[in-house]
Amino acid sequence: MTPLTSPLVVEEPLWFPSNGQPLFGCLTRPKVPLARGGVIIAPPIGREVHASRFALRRLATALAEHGFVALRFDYYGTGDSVGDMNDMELDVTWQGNVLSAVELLRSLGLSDISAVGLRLGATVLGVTASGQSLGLSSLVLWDPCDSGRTYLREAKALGMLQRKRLSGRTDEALTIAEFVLTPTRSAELSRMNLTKSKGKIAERVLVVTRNDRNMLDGLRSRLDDENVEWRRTVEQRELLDVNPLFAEMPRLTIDQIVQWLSEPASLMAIYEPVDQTTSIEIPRGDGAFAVRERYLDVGPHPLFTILTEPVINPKGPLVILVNVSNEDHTGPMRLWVDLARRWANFGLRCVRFDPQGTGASPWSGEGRNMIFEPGWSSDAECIARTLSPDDPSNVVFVSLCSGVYVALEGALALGARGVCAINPPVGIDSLRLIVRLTSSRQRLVRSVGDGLKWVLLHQRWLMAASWHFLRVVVPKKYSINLLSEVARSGIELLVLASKEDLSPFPRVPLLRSIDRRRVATPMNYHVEFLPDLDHNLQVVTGRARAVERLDEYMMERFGGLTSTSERNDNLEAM
Amino acid sequence: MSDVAATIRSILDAHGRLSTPSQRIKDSDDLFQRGLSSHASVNVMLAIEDAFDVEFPDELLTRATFQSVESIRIALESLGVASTNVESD
Repeated sequence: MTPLTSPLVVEEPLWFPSNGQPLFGCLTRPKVPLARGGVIIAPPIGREVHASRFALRRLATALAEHGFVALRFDYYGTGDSVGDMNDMELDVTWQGNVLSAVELLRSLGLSDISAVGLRLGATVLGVTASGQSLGLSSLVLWDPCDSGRTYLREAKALGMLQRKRLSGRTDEALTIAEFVLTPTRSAELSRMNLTKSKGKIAERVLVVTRNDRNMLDGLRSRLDDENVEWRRTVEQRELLDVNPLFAEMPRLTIDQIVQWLSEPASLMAIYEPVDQTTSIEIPRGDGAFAVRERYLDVGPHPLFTILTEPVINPKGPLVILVNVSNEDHTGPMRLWVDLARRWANFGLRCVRFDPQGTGASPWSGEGRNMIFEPGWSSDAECIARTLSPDDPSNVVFVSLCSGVYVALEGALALGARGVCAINPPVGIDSLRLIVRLTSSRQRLVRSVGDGLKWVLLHQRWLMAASWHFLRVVVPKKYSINLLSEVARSGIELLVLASKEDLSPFPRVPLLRSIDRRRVATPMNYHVEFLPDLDHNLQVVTGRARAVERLDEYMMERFGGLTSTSERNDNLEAM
Repeated sequence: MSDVAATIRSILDAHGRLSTPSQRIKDSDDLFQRGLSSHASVNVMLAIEDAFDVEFPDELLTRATFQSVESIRIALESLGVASTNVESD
C-alpha cells in the first residue's frame, strides 16, 4: 500500500482480469472499510493521458476522502495493462474493460456505482453504459469526445498542424503522437459514437464542457432525454492544450465533480477488502523466456515500481528505465513498457518506476511542475540497491532527455555497467550545476541554486529561450563534463541523438556543417545520429530505428541469450 | 465584410486566443504570428466545421490553411462554401 497525503486514504495498485487479460488499475479507497459507493475513472488515451494522469489521481484521492472507492485503470493495450492496441477489436475490448471495472467494484460489495470519464474515456463510458446495463447511479462526462472518430480527427489535425512528421508507414496506418493504429483499429475506435448511442446511460448525468469549445449539437440533443446537468470549465486549456510536462491541476473542476457525485445523500456501507493481485504472467512472446511482471513498493518513500523479468533464470544486468522529467513510468509513447516486456522475453530483468513526487509514487497531491529533482538520482540508486542487492553496479540505465541526467548521476554513483542515453538535453551540465548548488551546505549558494531552479520551472519562456540560446551558441552540442566523466569512468555509454536537437536551423547548409563540427570534436564517447529521430520520439520511423538500435546494443552487450545464432534468430522473430 | 469572413473572425475571437481582436487583423495577416497555437487552431478548425457544416480533408489540415483569415476563406471556398462581398485589405 502506498500512503498518500491524506492519512484517511490508501492506494492499492493491482491487476484485475477482463476477458481473461490482466488490466492494471489502482484502487483509491477510504482507509476504513466503509464507503458510500464506488466510482470508476476512465482515462483518455495518447498524450492526453500523460497530461491528465496526475489530475485523475487527485480526483481519485478526493473521492476517497469523500467516502468513495475509486478505481482508475488502463485499457487493454495501454499503460501497464497487457497487450497492444492493435491486437484486438478495440471498441468491443475497451467496453469489456469498463464492464470488468464495474464488476470489480461490485465484487467488493459496493452496490452504488458511478463513473467519471475524461475525453475519450467519457466516450467509452457513455457508449458502454448505453449498450450494456451498467446500472450507474451517476455519470460524469468530462470534456467528452462525441465519438472516437472525432478524437482521432482532433489528434491527427493537431499532429499535422504541429508539423509533426509522424507518418512514414506505407500501409495507411493512422499515426498520431503516442501510437500507431491499423486502419481496422481506427475504424473500430471511430465507430464508438456517443451521439448515436441509444438508451439511458445513468440515473443522472453531469456533462462538463470546455468554455472555449462549442458542444456539438448532436451530443446535446442525444443527452436531452437524460437527467442531465451541464457545466463549463475554464481549466481544460491548461490541462490539455499545453506540453504535458506543464499541465496544471484542474482543481475547480475536480472539486465540482466530487461535490456533484457526493450530492445525493447515501449511507456508508461496509465493503470487502480487495484481493490485491500484484503479479501477472505476460502472455509469452517470441523470445526464449516466459515473463512475469510484479508491482513493488521500493525504498523508504516508497517508490512505485514495476519489475518485469523472466519467470525462471534471469540473466544479465538489471535494466533501469528512467522517466523523462515528471512523466510517468510507462515512458514516452509507452516505450518503457514495450522495451521491458521485450527484453525480459530475452532474459533481462527490467524495472520502471516513478521517482518521488511523480507518477504513482507518494506526492503532495498538488501541481507537478517538476523537471528534475536532486533526489531522483538517489531514487534510481535505491532501485538498483534494492533489486540488485548482491551487486548494485550490475545495472544498465536507459533514459531519454532530462532522464539522461538522472541516469548518468545514478550510474556514476553506482559504477554501473552501462547507460543508453537518448537525446541528452542541451545544457545537461547546467542541470548538474543547479543540482549541486541546491545541495550545497552554504545557505547563500543553496539559495542561488533554488532561485535558478525556480526560474527554470516557473518562467517557461526563459527555459525555452535558454534552450534555443544553448542550441545556437554552445561550442559543443553535448555535455563536456558529465557524459565524458561517465565514459572516463569505464561505464559503457551509448548516445543516440536526433539531428533535430542540433540546431534550430537544420535546413541551412552552413549552419548544419557547423553543427557537425561541434559534435565531431574529439570526445571520449561516440554519438550516433539516427535518421528521422525527433527529440520526443514521436516520429514513428525514428522511434523504430532507436528501438532497433537499443535492441541490438542490449542483446549484444548485455543479452541473456547464450549463443549469437540463438540471439539473431530471436531478434528476427521480433 | 463577407458573411464568411465575419464568421471566421468571430470564431477566431472565441477560439483562437489571439493576441489581438480579430477586427484589428487584416485578412492576410499571419495568425500564427498573432498567437494562434496548434491547439487553438484545432479548436478553430472544429468550430469552423461546425459553423459551415463542412469537414476539412486531410490535405487541408496544414498550417497553411489556418495561416490567415484569407487562407481559411479560400479553403472554405474549395469546400463549396460560397463567399460574397469579400473585403480587401
